[in-house]
Amino acid sequence: MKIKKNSAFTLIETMIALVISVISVAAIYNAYLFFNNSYQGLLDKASISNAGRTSLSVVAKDLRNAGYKDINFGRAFDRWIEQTDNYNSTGADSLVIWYNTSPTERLRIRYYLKKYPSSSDFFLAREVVENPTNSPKLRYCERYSSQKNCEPQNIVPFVTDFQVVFKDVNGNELRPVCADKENVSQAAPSTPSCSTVGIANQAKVHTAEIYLTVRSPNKIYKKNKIIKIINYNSSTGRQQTITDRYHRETFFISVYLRNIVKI
Amino acid sequence: MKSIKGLTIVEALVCLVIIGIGFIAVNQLITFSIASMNRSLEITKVNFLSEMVIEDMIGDSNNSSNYSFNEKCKHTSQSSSDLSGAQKNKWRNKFSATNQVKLDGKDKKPKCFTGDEKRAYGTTNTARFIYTTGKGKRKKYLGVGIK
Repeated sequence: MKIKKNSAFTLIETMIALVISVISVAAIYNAYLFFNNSYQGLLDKASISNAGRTSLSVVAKDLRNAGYKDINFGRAFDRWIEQTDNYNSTGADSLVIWYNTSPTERLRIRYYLKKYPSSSDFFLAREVVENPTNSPKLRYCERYSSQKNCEPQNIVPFVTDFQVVFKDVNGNELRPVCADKENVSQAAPSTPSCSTVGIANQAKVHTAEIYLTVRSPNKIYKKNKIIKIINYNSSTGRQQTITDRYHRETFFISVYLRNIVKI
Repeated sequence: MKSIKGLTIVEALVCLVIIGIGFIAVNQLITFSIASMNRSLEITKVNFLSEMVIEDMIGDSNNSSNYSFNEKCKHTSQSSSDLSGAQKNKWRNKFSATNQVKLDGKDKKPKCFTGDEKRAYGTTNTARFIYTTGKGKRKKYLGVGIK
């Protein structure tokens, strides 16, 4: 009887092939993890960048309108711009802007940090009030006519800090800048009431500088990092040190307040 | 005797090397695209900061000719006896991200290569800003009438 001989891989060859395959798969898997993490990190950075710049464009637009008075507006027009330190004990500032949208209508827009209901994170809130001194009506309500369930706009999620610095025509910092006693004491009880200096400073504001620090939605770094955030390098600015795995970026704008300068 | 021929170990290894080369090429491509996205984020940042420059020049339109500014990768603060000097020092700090966010004690400085620069200049009625990236290869212009 003739024996049929089938030639195939030897055991050694099979084992070498197996080892090479395992090494290749491990390399591909590690590369996949590396690129996936890098890509995810980059997406988060891009989302921070997009959110930060888009929101600061909105703030800049409002700041450029600050103090705009319609020539036919008949009522008292004595408040244009305000800043409050440590608003609602968040450590961050609040910015209030007033301007006319028609001969009879006026808006008050307040920017401040607001806590999410279910976490300790903050978002940058934009609260818009129509006719703030006569018959105030908040925008962004479930039912506008009955002013039911009104919530400010969330214009940037996961904000770490928001600082506002006003400067006069010579580039010197102006502080305080506020409109009246009642307004400031309601906003931040710990802040002294607005003085006559604060009221007068409103008309001296030439430039507004805004610092906005946003953190990534997901943890990006493998290990904890010590992050020092310096928003306005002065005793009136804010410095904080945070240790965690999130990425943070500070966005800055400087806006010339053309309407207030012309008042 | 009938012999069934398969791949030899040498052939298999050659095949693996070819696949490996392809894999390295894909690696390079992904690394390059991630670096490109990072660069794009930095360019967007400069683009955004250029509005600050123009805005500051609009705010001091009577002295716009004092706003000549030319910065390459090295940033050194200069004396600032007037508003334009103070504003230019502010631009230097913002473009180099000095004293903004420190990660493990170090400034997160944007990348800057030889040939990259930020240049501003004003005339009596215009303000212009030009920035160059990609080792001097890409230029972007921003100009406005200020009076």
